[in-house]
Amino acid sequence: MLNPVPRSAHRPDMHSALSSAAPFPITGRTFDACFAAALAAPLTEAGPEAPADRAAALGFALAWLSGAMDAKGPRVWIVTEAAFSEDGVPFAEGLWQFGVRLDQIILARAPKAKDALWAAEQALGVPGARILCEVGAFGAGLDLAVTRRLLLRAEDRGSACLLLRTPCGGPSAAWTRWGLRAAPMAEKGSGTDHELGPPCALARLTHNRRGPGNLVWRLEWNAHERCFSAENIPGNPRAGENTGHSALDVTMAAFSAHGPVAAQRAGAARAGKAPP
Amino acid sequence: MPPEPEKPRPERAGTERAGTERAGTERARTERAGTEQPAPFAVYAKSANGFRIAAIDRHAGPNCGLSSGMSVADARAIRPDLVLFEADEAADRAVLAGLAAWCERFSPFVALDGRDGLFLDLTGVAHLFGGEGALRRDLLSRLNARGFKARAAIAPCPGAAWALARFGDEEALQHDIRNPDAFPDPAMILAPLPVAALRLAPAPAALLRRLGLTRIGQIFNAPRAPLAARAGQAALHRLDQAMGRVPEPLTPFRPPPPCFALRRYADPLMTTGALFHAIDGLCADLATDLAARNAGAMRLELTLFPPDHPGHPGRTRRVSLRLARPEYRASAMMRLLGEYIRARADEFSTETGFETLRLDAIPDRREMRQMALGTGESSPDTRGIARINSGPDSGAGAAGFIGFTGDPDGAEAAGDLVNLLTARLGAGRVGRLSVCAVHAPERVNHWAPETGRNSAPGAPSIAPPADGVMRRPLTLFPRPLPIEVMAALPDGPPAHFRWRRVLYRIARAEGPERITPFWLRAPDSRTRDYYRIEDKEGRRFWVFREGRYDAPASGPGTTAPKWFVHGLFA
Repeated sequence: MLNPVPRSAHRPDMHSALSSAAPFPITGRTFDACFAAALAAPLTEAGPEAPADRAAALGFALAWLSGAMDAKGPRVWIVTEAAFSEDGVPFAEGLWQFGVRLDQIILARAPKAKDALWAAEQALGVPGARILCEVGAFGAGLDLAVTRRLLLRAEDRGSACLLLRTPCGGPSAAWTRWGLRAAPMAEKGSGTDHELGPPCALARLTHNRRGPGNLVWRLEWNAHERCFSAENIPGNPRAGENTGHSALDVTMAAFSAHGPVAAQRAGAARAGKAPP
Repeated sequence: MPPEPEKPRPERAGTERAGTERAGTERARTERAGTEQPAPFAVYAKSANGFRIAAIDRHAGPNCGLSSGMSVADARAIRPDLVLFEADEAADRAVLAGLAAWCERFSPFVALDGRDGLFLDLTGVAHLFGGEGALRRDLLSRLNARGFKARAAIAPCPGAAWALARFGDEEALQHDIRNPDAFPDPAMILAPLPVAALRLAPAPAALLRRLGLTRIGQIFNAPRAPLAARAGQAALHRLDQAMGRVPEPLTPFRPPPPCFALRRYADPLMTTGALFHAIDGLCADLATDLAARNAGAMRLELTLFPPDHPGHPGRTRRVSLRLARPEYRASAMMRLLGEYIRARADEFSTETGFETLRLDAIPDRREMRQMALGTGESSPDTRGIARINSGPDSGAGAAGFIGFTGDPDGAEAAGDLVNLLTARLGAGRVGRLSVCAVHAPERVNHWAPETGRNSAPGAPSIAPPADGVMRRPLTLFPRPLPIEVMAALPDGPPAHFRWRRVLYRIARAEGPERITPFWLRAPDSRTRDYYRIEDKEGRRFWVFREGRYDAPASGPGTTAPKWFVHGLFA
């Protein structure tokens, strides 16, 4: 069983916790700014957009884990046994190319997703820890309450967690959420037809609590520099499909679609004023 | 014919003490418990010159005329209704081993003695049971309730306990060894016992009998040199052991912990809350003990003994936790044990409850060796327990900790985390991957649990390719998964394939990279040609073809090449 919820989790409204984080930094629209925000956030979510893209999501998660390899605390990778059998076990040389050194990673294999979440919560209790928690297809179990627990613990201890969940959706307390999809190699002239280049992926920032959301980049992993080189994808097909209009070209917080802050800012944006 | 100590088989105990069980007949009786059998029965075994009686049912009575050691034919002549069973030594040993495990509720040091005896070291535990006498009575009544007739003796040394338990009379068995007045020199007690009580070999025993020396008292003060010349040095050594003049090392049934806490309850603990409260107390006791020794435990073992209900023997539960760093705090130990039990609540729910709890602190073997090699600073008491404080050996559990390169506080927190995760998820589920320098991809990864390590981890020797090309996947399937290949080409990757019912059309491919399996380990496996492929969507796979198209088409074991996916690239 999970330990009792920290007292702050019983706060009636989430906004009191959020307002304490003022001044409210708004991240930029570049991938580097957004990824840096994800690296600094206590709770991040990532997931494949289709079941077959799990490896791409894992690559992104490993890049997140290696993004702070000089962190003070331990690095923990928690995987469910189901994910192990579904996607295979981590392979040392492949991980190395994502900047993850095996001797610096504690690998925990949880029998079930519930155990994985428990392990993540315990690991978040270590100050400065960075946790990659792969919960697989958890379904309805991973809800706002569970993710908020993790968020509060991470904020409390200065640790960070990336949840790698297979159906990447549903309510969550994560600061940013990323959807990943494998991308074919870029055509760079002739002669490369039979050579695979660096790993490529399409990253969609679907949710960003402190900056613009619904942005898409095409990422290429640079194994030498241990960083992504991103290429902005203009236009946002998904936003067009779902809402019928293009995304607002205004820097605003995807705070809460129905909250007072969002309404106030949206009103200010419509009135042509610069947001505060 | 004198009543031999057949049926009751002596059960001995001592300060070094012993218990003996005649397992054979009791086991046979128990197995036949359903059928009321008035006729006596015996167990026979093949010995010196044919079948001889090995043990006789205790219910046969002392005057039945039977004795162990007589031939089966004689026994049949005396009691025509005698029911005979053939001895099963393996089963007897198993019963004795089970009894030894059961006896661990009294003392952590239990040693097997022959095929029908047990030694219990009662040092430091008798007071928990109200003294040696009370412990002995408790032990005997419980054994009796379990269907064993036993004899127990308590003595300052194993030799004397053995002699008393096998040959002492009731009065001698009840001596209170704590009282020097009531239990004077062991020589006084041992003197009237027969020489056979010295555990002599047959030849010196026969010699002493021939010389007319039948009682131990007769050879106490005999001149040592002539006696040794005739009966041998071994006989003198046995005499000295019985007298407690020389130490007698015993090999315990299970290695005893250097440090333990034990609690007994008058009523069994039925609820989880009561159990946790008791474990909390045990942890506090153990922590006090460890703090006094300036030491920490590398392994914790909690043993939960159920009460003895005749006919309903409960199952003893054992919790064994290996730790990543020496632990000495009561709260941390309680948390680990609580987490373990909570995660396995079904296993620890019982109808009978638990009556006795014992918590052992067991050292790491490496620490033990270091302590043995260490300077004179380590007293015998702390030997075998990892020291917490300063010293090059103390940090081995924490500083060499993986996933961490920082201050000791952080290492401590990381070690606690590993301990906690291991307690809940299970031993072997928390660890790290290292690599071996082998060609077969499925044998490169090597899993090493983080707890119970014997050496600090070193960096894995991965040689990244100089050209930066990712030739190895991110994840690897322990067993390659077969794929359905639609358009196979003789010398290249397929144009598309089906895996997990999904069709993938291949856009690009690199390869082949040929890996020949290790012929010694896998003589039947075939050459593999690996390809790195990318489908139209950009997903990358590591697939291989097992077998070659140009292989000879005939001969045993030659089949068409098969395709597998072995790993995934990001």
